Amino acid sequence: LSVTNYYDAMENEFLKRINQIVGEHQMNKIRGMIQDITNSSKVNVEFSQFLSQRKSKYVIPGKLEMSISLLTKAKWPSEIVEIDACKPPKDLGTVMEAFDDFYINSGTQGHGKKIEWLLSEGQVELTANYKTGKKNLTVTTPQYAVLVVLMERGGSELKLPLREITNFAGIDKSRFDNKN
Amino acid sequence: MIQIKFSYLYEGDVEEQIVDTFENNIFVYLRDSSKDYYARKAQEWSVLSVPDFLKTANRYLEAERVRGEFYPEFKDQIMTTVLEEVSVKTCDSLVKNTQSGLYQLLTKKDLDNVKSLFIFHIEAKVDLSNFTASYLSYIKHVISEFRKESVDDSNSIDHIKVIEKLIDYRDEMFKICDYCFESNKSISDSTFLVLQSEFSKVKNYPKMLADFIDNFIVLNGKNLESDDTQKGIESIFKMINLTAERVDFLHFYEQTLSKIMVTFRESFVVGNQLL
Repeated sequence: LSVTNYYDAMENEFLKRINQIVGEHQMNKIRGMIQDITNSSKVNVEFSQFLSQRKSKYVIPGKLEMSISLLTKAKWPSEIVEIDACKPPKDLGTVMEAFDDFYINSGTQGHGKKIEWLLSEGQVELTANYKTGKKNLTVTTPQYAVLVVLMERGGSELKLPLREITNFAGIDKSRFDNKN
Repeated sequence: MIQIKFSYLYEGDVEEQIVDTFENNIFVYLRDSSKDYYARKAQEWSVLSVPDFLKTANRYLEAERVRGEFYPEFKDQIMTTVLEEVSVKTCDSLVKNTQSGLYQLLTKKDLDNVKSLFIFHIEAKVDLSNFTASYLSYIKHVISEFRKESVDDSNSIDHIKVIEKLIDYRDEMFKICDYCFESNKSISDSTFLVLQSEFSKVKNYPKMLADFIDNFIVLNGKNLESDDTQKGIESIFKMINLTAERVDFLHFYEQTLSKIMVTFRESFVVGNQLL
């Protein structure tokens, strides 16, 4: 996946200097966010091993390249925490189910914790086969959910009434009213 | 002149008359006539524009300094008298001159004459309160006009451009402090406080600054070591230092940082078949 604007060295330079201005205490939240991202790398490796050992239990159609960021709710700005943005498409749903199993039930680290999926923060890269050739698209998870609904139910013209799209993709209709 | 002085010094009863004779006959006359002369001259020059006044007054003052070498023991006293008439009594009106005073010189970017007016104050040891107040008033006016035009009354606010412009203003104001006011600490400190206060009046300033930093990192993230990037970082931190609402800024910084961080990924592959 190519989507990233996180420049480690530059961010660290800024954080170090902001720390000098605002003081250690004010930086606790940001430090916690960085810690989450660092830990997520390790979690992804472990989850990948977990999945490879349970191929028969979690059948994922096709081949997906994935990454999961495991965030501690209290450490992150509430503005980014929007749950239930959409119903996950089947492939994604299987991975989410597997992750819940991995994190909550199979280890000690997630014991007693609850996972909420922030699908609105997710991004999906997919390849579309147009008559003019292949195009790589980068979309949000809700957009991906809409595309899957259209693919599965929209027929050859990929058309569906809005009511059906919102219903099957599990997206609040008001999201389509947003002009921004 | 020195010979004349000594001829007076040694006349009459040495014990009683040494100083009085010289002071009463030469120095007092020299001082009073200088005072009257320069009071008339200052009045005469008051019709000139401030730059012309400064040019003319400085020419006369320089001539007076050269002349003072002929009576070195009394030079300082004579110069004090002359400066009182030419500079001390006129500085305030020069600063406040509605046609070509400090505010107008700054507006016209006539920095050489701004500098000249400052030095005029310093040489006469005039209190800088009015001068500083006029400069601060200029800063307030500039930022407030920009705020009204580009933020308060604007339909579409470009956060990046607003911060870029505020950086330009900050650089301009401190360059004036350095070039025109010889980095005078009192004026520089006051400039800092006024900029901080004016920036805090810009609607959504902390968020705009956080967005500006986000954009800067996206554009320059791969070139941390380059000179331009380092200059940019220095410039940004000068702005953060000028930010009164640091808690608000940090909140928005956390938000932008979190948006970037959740898209940062080291991926793994699941599934067996190619799509």
